Amino acid sequence: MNEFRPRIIAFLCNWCSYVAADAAGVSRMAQQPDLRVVRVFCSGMVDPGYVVKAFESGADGVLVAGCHPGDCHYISGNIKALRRSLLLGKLLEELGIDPERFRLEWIAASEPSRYAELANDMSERVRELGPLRPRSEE
Amino acid sequence: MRDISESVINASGAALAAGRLLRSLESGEPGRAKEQPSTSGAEVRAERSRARSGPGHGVLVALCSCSGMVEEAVDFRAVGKDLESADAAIEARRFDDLCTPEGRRQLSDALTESGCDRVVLGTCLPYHDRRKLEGIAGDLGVEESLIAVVDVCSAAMAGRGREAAERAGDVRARLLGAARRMKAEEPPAPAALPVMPRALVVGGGIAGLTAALAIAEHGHAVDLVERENELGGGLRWSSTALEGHSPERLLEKTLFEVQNHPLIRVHTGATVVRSRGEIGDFTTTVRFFSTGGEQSIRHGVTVLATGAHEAEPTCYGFGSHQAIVTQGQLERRLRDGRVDPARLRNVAMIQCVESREEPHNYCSRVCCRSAIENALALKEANQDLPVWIFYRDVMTYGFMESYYTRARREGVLFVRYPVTDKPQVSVAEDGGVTLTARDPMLDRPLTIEPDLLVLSNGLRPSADEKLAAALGVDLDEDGFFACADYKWRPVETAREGVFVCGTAHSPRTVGESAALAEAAAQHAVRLLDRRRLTISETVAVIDVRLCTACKTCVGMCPYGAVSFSEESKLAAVNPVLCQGCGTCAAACPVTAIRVRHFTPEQVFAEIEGMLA
Repeated sequence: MNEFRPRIIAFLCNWCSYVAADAAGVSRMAQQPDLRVVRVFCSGMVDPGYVVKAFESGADGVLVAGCHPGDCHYISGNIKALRRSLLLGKLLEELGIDPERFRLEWIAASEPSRYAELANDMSERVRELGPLRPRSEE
Repeated sequence: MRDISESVINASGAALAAGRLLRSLESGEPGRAKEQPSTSGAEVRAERSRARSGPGHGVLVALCSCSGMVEEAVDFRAVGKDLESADAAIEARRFDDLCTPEGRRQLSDALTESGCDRVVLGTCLPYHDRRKLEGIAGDLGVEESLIAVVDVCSAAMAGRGREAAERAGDVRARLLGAARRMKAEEPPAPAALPVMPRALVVGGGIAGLTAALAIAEHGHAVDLVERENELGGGLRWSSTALEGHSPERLLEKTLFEVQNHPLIRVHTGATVVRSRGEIGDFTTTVRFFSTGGEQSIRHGVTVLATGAHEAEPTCYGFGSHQAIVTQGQLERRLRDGRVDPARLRNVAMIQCVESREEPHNYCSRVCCRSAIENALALKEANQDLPVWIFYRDVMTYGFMESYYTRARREGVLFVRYPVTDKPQVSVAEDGGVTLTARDPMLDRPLTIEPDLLVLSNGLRPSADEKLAAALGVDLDEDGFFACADYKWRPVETAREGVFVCGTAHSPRTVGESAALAEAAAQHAVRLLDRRRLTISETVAVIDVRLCTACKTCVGMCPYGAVSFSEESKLAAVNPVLCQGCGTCAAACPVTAIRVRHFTPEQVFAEIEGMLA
């Protein structure tokens, strides 16, 4: 049996966290290769349904990252994302998904190291939690 | 010394200057830009209303009489009236021969006149017309999907023996069906919208004047609104400046140019009471104080330059003794001779009065400069006069530092005080002013008896909540107009098409205000020059078939781009205002809203692809 490699979908905001992720890559920061990035314009654009869909499609973890509060390119999209995330956590529990598999974080464009840290941390945490459902050997 | 925002501001100013030069080369007349042919207000209105119209705005039902033949069988006037009363969105017109170029022209005119944005053609040969639909759409400037063709001829002619009323009923039913369908048709997003070629500048201080002049020099009309009866703002009372520039001359020159520019209309003694509309097409109402009369101005961009004023101190005995004055008062009194430095014995100045502490947590940038200016002027006139400056931090950034050095060399005494241990001022019964403070260098108390105590009390923004609300923009926590992003979009407000400059933006020196004004003008010119605003493809669109009229999206939008029509009971997105953030789409409980190019299908496909 191969070592468990989590698959994590990361919804990154175009203006902050996506830029940070890019910079982290350009700066060759050591990162676990488990995050698969979906670029969105704003964390507030991430329909909770997207997160559920990601889990349904086989993701072991989902990260939504936006600008720090007060820095949203769209004034307050991140705050709306925060509001939705609280409810989403409860929904995930109902669905039998450990809410720890889902995270909402703020990463500024100038924080590539924070992005790399979070990516590694998230990856490690999901590794500990194990696969969301048994995976047939590939 | 420039931070990012100032570099951005200066870059915009430089771009403006370059643009001005290029234009004057183009027009062949130095210093004068080519005047632009202007779009008429009616054109802008017509096109914008067509674009704005949500579902069910207006359907023109065009009835073709086929040279009178069909009309013999059916009374078009009655049918038309009937249709119009059946649905308020319908406007019915009769034409003689829609298949001829003349008929098309009449139809085109009727469409413009009625303001309808979709058409039902009641004609004789639907197949013929359907094939020619593309041509008709092009002629009329209406999307093909918004034109329906209905065969009225067959319905009118079939069974000649039938009652006329029955035939009319048939015609009516077909037309009404098609019209209703067209009414529910979603209009395609327009690619571009025209811009009203006029700027509104609010505030006639040096920033407003500079901005107005710069915009006018680029060939655009400007309306300048000033609250006072006289232009000039703060420069009217602040005259001296470091670095050898004369603000008086600057003001005089700018005023002359503004007042003699053919493209600038000046409204003094007036204020803005409200401003509606959106980028490219604002309607602002201005009220004149003297008459109470109002005037509406339609413009494409707004520049806010409402300025700031010297705050009135409420401490250090201000107002209780004539020897206690503000920096601004000292400046004016030195100029008009009411203060004679030769007759003074001891002068003290206190910096950061009611500044950089609650509730005014900002540095006004100009007070250290004014204090040093005034101290140098006093020293120049009376070398032996002791001048004390009690300060928290001296802010003489950039090249201003050399004046600070000079002031020290001239013998001006700088004494630092912490905010927790401010100087104490007492006014004695017999009329003397005493100031006590602690000298941190000697670590002992200092008592002086100045015959002139000058307070540096900083700037307060002149705009208030009421004006901000009228203009539809926000104030920051210090009461200045909030910009969209301090670093990268320093002169833009969150309301698209509204720019802010001068001391209404933040405390600034004269030169810095002018730089901000040029940056704001450059943004304004850039918009006005485009003449048409292209609308981003990435905007939210509402599938009206799914909309449940819950209005969740309306409150979500940070840009006021989503509106709800009580008439149609549907929400609509204004594509000009929509920034494509998608928060409405995420909030919509029935997924009726989608952001173009970021649809759930696309996101789902991407997720599935990545996890496959």
